[in-house]
Amino acid sequence: MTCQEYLSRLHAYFSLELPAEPAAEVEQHARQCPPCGELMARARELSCRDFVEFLNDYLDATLPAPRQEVFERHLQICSDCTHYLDSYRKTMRMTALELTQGVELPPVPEELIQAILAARRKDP
Amino acid sequence: MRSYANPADLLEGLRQGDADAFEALVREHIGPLRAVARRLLGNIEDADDAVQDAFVSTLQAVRRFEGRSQLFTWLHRITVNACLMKLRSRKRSPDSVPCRHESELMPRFTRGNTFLEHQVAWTEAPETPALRDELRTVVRDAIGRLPENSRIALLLRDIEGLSNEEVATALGITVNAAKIRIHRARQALRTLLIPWMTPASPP
Repeated sequence: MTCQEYLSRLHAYFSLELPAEPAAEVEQHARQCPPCGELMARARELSCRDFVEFLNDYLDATLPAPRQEVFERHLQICSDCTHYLDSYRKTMRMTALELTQGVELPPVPEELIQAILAARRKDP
Repeated sequence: MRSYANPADLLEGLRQGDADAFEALVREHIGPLRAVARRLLGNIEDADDAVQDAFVSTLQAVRRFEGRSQLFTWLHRITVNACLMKLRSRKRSPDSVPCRHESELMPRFTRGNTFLEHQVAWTEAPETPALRDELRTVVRDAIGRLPENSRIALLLRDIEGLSNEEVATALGITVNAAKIRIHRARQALRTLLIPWMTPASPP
């Protein structure tokens, strides 16, 4: 198996979609080729599901430091999680932006202010 | 009416029960607080009720306010709490029924815990005013479609700027439950925005 074939099958391998024989070939290549073996070791450190589940902790930087580094290493090898993280951040940014900017509130009616001032007078 | 340029004088006036001080407080801060209440409650009538409750609450609370935080931060927190009280007391309005169950909006994974759907890069937010207006409507509409529990947690964290711990306290749930609620809401919202943010699938 060439490195290119290995790379093209790696996602299917981790998704448990490869039949036994090609899966064994992928593993064999990883044992024989140090860079490809390193890639597999990294991919085993963290699943995409776990990346997404703890994404908010990663962004809040509340994970233990070694775990935080595992997340960063995962991002270096996983385009799905990289794109997911980027879209998650953009969602947060848009939420903040679209709800706070360009909001035209009608002027506060004087009756509301007077009602509040009257409520104070009733409050002992 | 006396003017209160110095916040310390205003605070002292409030503690003394001075009517002018209270009026100055109301006039200065009601605008932004009303905006907060409207975001959380969705309509101006409930927002006005909550703002009124909030200002009346300050009359009692000012005796306990130690002045360590900014006056506005303190008012903001009281307003948020007044809104949460209002939410608890009112019946679920028909338009807050989500059109899809939140769990359907979560990302899906393979048996091997990789993404089931290939993730693609999002475009940058549009620059032109017309598209920005459209996006604003889309974002607000999407937020409005979230289940109320999720929506409130999201608004408190990402708009009102409360910490996870503060959201938990405000909602009377554990910090972990608050974090999960916020995270799920962001993920659901993200899914609702996909059609507008990916070039491959125009809405």
